[in-house]
Amino acid sequence: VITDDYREVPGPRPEEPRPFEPTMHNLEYFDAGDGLGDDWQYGLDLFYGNPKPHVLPTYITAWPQELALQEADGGKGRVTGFPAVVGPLENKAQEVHIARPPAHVLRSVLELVMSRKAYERIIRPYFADEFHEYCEALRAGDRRRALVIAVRMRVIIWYNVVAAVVASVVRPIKELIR
Amino acid sequence: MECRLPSSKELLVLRLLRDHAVSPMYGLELVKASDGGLGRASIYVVLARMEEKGYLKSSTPKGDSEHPGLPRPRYRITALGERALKGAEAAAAAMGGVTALEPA
Repeated sequence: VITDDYREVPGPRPEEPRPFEPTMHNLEYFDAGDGLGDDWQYGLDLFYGNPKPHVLPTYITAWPQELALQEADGGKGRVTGFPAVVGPLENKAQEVHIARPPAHVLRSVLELVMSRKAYERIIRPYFADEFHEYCEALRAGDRRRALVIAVRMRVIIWYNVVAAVVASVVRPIKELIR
Repeated sequence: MECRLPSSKELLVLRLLRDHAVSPMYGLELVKASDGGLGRASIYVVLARMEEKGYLKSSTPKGDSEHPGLPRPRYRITALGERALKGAEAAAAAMGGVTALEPA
């Protein structure tokens, strides 16, 4: 480029062709707006680990996308093998087999230590209820909640054990004082 | 014979069981239905004491395929429990709207 004072300065470089990026935008196949709706909801489900996604993925499943990629690439063959054909993603809710229920050692020890009546009326029903909640949380794929239940179970049992021991010590003393 | 009125927690349990008389309730169901009136830590102590007094009757169904593992006992109010609740409510009304009665 020749300027007014006859200096030659480099002009703008000709725009180099950018390498093809097989993004959804470049493909003009799905833009951000297209993702809203069921597909968007599915993404949210995956992100939050929802065990029962609202819909199965429909956008990376089969040949139409490969065809769109080939067309966008101008038939140069740079997108061979892309995308990997992905079927419906696996449901995250896994079948969980519980080999040992939480706090099973504590329960066994209490069964040995406590009177049968107290164990049958207080400890076992409590374990049963919490264990049901624990199983429900695992079934829903909510491992964090299951962990909270397992910890809470131990805390409450120990609280009751300590309270029972203290009461058994305090009661005779109170009767003596009377 | 010593006669004691049900405690406030016992009354709450009796009321909940009377209101859900159609189906017996689990311990944690009672905790949830009480809306903070009953705690997880103490519910089974209260229920055991009430069963001993004859206010409740528990039944333990066998585990089903959906809920294997330890069976959960269900609690149902007895006739004695209903009488105790009515008596406590009548006493509370006679005392002028006292809702919570503490044992003597």
